[in-house]
Amino acid sequence: MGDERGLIALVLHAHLPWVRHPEYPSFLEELWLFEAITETYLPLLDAFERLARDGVGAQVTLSLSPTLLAMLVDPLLRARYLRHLESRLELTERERHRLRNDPVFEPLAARQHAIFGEAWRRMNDPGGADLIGAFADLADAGVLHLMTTTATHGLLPLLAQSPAAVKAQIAVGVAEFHRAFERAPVGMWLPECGYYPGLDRELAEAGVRFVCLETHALTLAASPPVYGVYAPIYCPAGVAAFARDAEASAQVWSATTGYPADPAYRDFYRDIGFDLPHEYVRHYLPASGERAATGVKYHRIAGSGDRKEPYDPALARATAARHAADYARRCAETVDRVGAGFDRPPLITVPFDAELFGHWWHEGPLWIELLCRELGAGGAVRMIAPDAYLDAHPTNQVTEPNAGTWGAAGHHEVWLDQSNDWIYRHLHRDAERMTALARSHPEAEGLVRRALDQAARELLLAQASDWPFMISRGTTVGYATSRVTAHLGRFARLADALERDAVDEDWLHAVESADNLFPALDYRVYV
Amino acid sequence: MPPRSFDEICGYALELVVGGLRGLRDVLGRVIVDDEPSSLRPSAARGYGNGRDPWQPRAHADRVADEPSLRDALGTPAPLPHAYADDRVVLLTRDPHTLFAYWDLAPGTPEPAGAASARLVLRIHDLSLLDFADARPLRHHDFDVDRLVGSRYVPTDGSGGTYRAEIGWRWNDGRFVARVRSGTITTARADAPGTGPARWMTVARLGSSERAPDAAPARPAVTEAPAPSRAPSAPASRPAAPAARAPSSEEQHRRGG
Repeated sequence: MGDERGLIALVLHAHLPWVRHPEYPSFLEELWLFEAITETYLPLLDAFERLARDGVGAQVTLSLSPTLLAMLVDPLLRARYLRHLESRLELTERERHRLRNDPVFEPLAARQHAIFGEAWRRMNDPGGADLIGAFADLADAGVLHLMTTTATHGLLPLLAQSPAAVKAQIAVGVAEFHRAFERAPVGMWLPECGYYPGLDRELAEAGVRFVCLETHALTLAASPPVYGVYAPIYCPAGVAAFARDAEASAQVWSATTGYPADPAYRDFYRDIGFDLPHEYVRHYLPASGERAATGVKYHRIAGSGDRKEPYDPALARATAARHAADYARRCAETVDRVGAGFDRPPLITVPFDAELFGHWWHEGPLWIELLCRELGAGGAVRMIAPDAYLDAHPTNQVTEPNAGTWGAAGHHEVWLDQSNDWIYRHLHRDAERMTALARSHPEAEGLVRRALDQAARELLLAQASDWPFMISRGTTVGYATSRVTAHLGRFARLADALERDAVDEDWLHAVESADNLFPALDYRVYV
Repeated sequence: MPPRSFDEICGYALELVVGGLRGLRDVLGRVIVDDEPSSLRPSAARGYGNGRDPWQPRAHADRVADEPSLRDALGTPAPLPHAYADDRVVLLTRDPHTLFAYWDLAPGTPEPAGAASARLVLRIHDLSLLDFADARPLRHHDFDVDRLVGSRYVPTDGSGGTYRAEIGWRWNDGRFVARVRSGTITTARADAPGTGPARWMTVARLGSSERAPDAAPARPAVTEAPAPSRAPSAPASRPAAPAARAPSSEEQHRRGG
């Protein structure tokens, strides 16, 4: 601690939209969860568990979205995940046989086989399979500081037309965290870092202590931040806001200049699902037969086009270690540069989507582990969680942050453009309708209560920021559109039935079976 | 020798799986919620599986529809309504320089006298320079409305402004009668921070992390505070324009897209 001159808050946000389709025997988009578990969540858990075991003083902050938590414990999805792993084990076993005489690629196939095998073992271990319990244990050990986000990742600035919609997203997010972890979240991840003046009052009402915002939320705040982005501010209602340090973030996420672009790391795009004969991999592709990634990858980024070099795990590990040391050095340079005249150690805040680590950047979880070890060795910069920072520094500047998001161009351009703006008139109207229904049924019971609760679930699901994101980015547009339409359609049918006092129990049961998240949800959150 | 340790058992099971149990796929394909192996259930030690889950006591929770009947029941999503005809106009901010307005007007709304000679317009009021709510807006821009249901993006005169929308009838002599009015919105600053004075606050932590889920949220004790004695008086870094977050290839990756 003697040389400590600054702090860094590493904040990871783990989120996937609710994707669960019991109406089909398998469903392509459920692979998002399966790949994220194998490639991100389990490797991160392994890394954090090693840090805890070794007594490394890491304090990583992790947001786990309520939809992700619900999927991680869903029996159907867990069974399907095991089925997925068994498919990959079969594929990699075939690969080991195919490559049995290849001294370069057979070990790579064996490595992939081992990754799937370890995941399979863990998910069959009654102790290890409880991923939420594992995260909670790491929080108890002090390695993780756990926070929540809104119920379904609704982008609050675009829902604020209906105050009840904002309140419900926040309240359900906090309640679901309580239900999962039996403790209060240390803070709330605002979806897409979306903030608007006045949101802090709703957050304070829900007991939220801090949020993370985009850089310009502080640099363009109502009064100039005296520490720049290197200390939090308090919003007028007393909620602390930590702003992203753009430079320190770009070093990690930039696909062109950041660490993940290093030629030593595993290539994301080269996958045997595309490389090998269709007939050979057909059994492991989507039912439609279209080419898709299988998660089995043998190449590193080095090279161009189809002429990629074989992956070298030892080289990748050495590179990750070098990059962890480099990041610690860069952070030290930053705090030395910006901290002159500070009465407190400068704080670098770097928030990321957790899925960047492992899924996109295969070596990302290893890099985090090595960075934690580097920073835990007593150098110039120490890792700290935002809530721990506030414990140490409870007096901060107070100002109103600038509105914005962390999306491209910094505002709502991604979630509100000509491809997806049609969504909002329905979301706004239905939030008002839900509020009216809740107020007209103050003490509903039985079937009516179930219909009201399910209507709230459907509305929340329609509000996810994931759908307009996918639509504007041109990825899985049809699926995202169908999800918005389906949830709003189910909401409308439930609302119509409630207004006519004619709830169809069989149909309600079907919808409850499909969208069975948030079992403790109380529709009166909309009152 | 039979497997003994947990690892040995798992390894043995693993070998069985990869040894050609493709039929297991079909078996698991028919898995239903109530039939999952006990190992798939979360630990009973944690909140989601601790037996206090309010979902469990409900009678409907133990009825699980099979795939075809569930698919039939859920059906194909019906198209969303084209209009609600509830007479409204809503303003949203897209970015510091662009508003998004949408409207939905009810047919048959009573019209003011002489409406036949008026045009229906969307009027965007710039309220940025007003000190009090009842003052007349100093600036506005009108856009023709040719449909009962529609939307448009509207450029603003500058960032950090406050706006309100109305839809109403406008006559050639300048008269305007509002039909519907939006709420007030404020766009973000784009270039520089505000000029407010630096104030300081101390927020004392209250409440416990062990609070019961249904307890009222802990409210912090908030007090004004003097500036730290050695706090820098000028911003530590120059205000920066918003930076693009990520290249599109990474954004496509996000959220599993």
